[in-house]
Amino acid sequence: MKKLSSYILILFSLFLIYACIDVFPFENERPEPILALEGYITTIPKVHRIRLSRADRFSPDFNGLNRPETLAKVLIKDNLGNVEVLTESTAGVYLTQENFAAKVGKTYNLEIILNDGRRFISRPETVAPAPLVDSLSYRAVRTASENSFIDEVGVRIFAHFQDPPDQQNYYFWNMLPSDFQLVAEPELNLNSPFHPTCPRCPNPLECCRICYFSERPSPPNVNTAEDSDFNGLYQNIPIAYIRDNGLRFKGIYKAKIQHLSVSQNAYRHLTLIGQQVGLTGSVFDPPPANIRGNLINLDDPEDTPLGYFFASDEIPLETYIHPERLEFVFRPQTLFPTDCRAYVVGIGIVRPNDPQIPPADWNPNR
Amino acid sequence: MKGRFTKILFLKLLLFTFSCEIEEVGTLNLLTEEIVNVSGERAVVLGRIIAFENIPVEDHGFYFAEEESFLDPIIISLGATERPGRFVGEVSGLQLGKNYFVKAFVVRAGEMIFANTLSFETLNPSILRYEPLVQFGGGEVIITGINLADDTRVFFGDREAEVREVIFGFQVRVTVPPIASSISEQIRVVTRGIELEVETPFRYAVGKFNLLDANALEGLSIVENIYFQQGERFFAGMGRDSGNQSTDFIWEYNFAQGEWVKTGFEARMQRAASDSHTGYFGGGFFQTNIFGPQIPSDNYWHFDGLEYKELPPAPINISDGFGYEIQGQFYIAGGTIGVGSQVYRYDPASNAWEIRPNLPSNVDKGMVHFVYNDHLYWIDRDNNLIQYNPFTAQSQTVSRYPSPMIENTTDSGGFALVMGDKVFIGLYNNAREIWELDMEILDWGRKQNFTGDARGRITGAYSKDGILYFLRSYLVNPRTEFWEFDPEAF
Repeated sequence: MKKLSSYILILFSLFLIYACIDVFPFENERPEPILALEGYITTIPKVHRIRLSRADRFSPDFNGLNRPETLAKVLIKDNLGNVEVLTESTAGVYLTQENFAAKVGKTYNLEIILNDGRRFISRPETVAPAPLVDSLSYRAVRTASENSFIDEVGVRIFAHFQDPPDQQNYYFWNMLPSDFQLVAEPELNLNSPFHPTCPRCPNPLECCRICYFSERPSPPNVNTAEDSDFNGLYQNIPIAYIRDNGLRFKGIYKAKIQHLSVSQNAYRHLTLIGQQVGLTGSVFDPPPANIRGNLINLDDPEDTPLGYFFASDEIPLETYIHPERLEFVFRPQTLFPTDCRAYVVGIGIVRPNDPQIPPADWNPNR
Repeated sequence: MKGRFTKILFLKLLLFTFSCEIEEVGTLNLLTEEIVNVSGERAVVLGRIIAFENIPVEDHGFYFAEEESFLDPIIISLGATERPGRFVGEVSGLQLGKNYFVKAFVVRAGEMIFANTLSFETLNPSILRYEPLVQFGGGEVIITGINLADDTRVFFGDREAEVREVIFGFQVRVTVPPIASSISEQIRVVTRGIELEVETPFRYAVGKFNLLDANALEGLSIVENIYFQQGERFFAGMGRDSGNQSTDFIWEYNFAQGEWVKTGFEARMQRAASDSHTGYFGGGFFQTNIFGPQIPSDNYWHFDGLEYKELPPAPINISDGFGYEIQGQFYIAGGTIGVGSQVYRYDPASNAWEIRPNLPSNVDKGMVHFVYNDHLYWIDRDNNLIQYNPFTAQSQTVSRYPSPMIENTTDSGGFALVMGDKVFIGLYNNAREIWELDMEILDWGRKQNFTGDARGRITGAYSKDGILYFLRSYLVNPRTEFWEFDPEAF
């Protein structure tokens, strides 16, 4: 009887084991890489840039790369039938000719033929005129930060312009890489920690105190506005914000900004992008999301490429921010206790040959 | 009783409401949403099926037609679908410059359902430009325009050219038909039955070479020499011979005898001299013989058509420098010794040299240079054609020499001959190309390639009655050939 019970127990256990290893019919859905587009054209004659890449899956287990989409044919077409063929300069970066410029009132489509034959076209974008900005001003602002003992300090730039009353206007202000004076303290230079005889000993340098570098302003805000609340009224509106990291505003900072008119759809897209860029992780944040762009896959309408191609009227703006004209700056300021030429520029920024020479268009006293 | 009646009425109304909702399930709305893009013969349209559940349809797509009644439609069928959402229709082969109507459709349970109608107008074609403006028969010309259809045909005069490719409706690559009876032809483009004429006539690359003397200059192969033209008289000489024989002479071409004869001028072996090609020359190096020491020479002469007159010694040693004459004054500049951009000017009125502002970059005699409208022009080794005003010392790059240059192989030598508003430039060392540059519009026109041995260097260039003449010296099988080139013959 005892033996019979053992057999039954083994049999029952076997049943249990088989039940445990029963294959669950699961298929890992690995989506095809999505085409991602970055770029826009403006009314300023110059080389305009369109970047194409394949947005891959991003998850805690990193398993995708944003690879450049190379060997594509990229065309910009206007509503009269003019075609601008872009040439690939580096992998996935396509450039117009030097003198290409959009024209106000014209409508543009971006057409892309990928190397694998897939074809995309953007929905039409019409260039609306951008009203002239008559003045720029700036002021220091202080905001609470995550550290309750240290407020964030920055400089907010304001544009003063007359919003046209007879049309619905949508604005986008894009901050470009900007030049600044790096003020260093070479007299505070120390020997390296690996110095053979006197590590970290004072070793004052005679050169150099002031250098000129470019940087991509931080934080990367997307500044947009629409005139439904102020149609036809004179505006004094914030268009950019640059955080004071203790180093930026020790010297003069030359902020470069594009004042752009955009379409309603482009405005909506950019605003949503701005929301995503500004996620802080708080409960009030919008949920992370893929924002649909205006590219259409001509062969597969279910495809959802990312990015938005738009055409804008551009008015380039620039202002010199003098530290002595700011109400306050970040304290304590960051020391750069060595030769200012030792500063390392950010990724994508061209380092000047001689950082001591101001850029050719540097004219803070105008 | 009244309360009961009210309750029954309310219940009935509720039933009515529910019955309405039940009927709504399974309906769809169809939208012809947007004209995305229109060109000459192509249109891209967006449509959308709006529904709150999956609704299978047997077919969906678009109707295109020239009349709003859609009597003879072009149907773009996208097949069956089960899900609502956006769909894209692309039609090509439309007529240029016509008004079209479009509406989306679905076929559901055998029933055809149409959406709203939108209209658009296809674009008209036009030609913007073509390049190059001058080409050989059999060469390629690219015509750029807008809204060119796939059936585009191109005619040079009455002869149809082979269309290699129509690129994205804005460029047409065509093979130029062989030259017939004229060097100029009108280009016509026919697309979808619409004929377009190009304003600027096309020109064939023509020109004919004729070898006049296979062994000019007494069989010598002269290099580092000077040459000049006085009226219709051609001169060449000095320098050295590639076979290390003395070339202490200046020859003149005798048209009557058809040969080069020595003039009375006997130079010492003076090579790498500067010369204006108009009669001023000198400088460079002096050697007693080909193996003797190189002594910088400051001897300069001017041939006025009658005699060689010696100029005062130049205040600078220049070897392989520019020489040019502007408003009767002789300039020497650059060279390969010292500062390669210094300029001195000889003024015949004062019989003296004076220093002038430096050129904006180093120059040497290996760069083609010429004078046009009292401005100096030269082509640097990056192919840039630079214009220099000797009176204001202002310079600018005005064009680019079209042929590629190979460093240390084809980037030196050559010639430039000014004939009215045209300048003939080319025949660099080891190269065959000759170009005609229109100085008024700075347009380069190709000429027939040199038919002789390419591995030579120009040692003299002249013009007379619209014909170009040149001396070309060879290091392999040393000799100097004398050629004529008729730029308009074919």
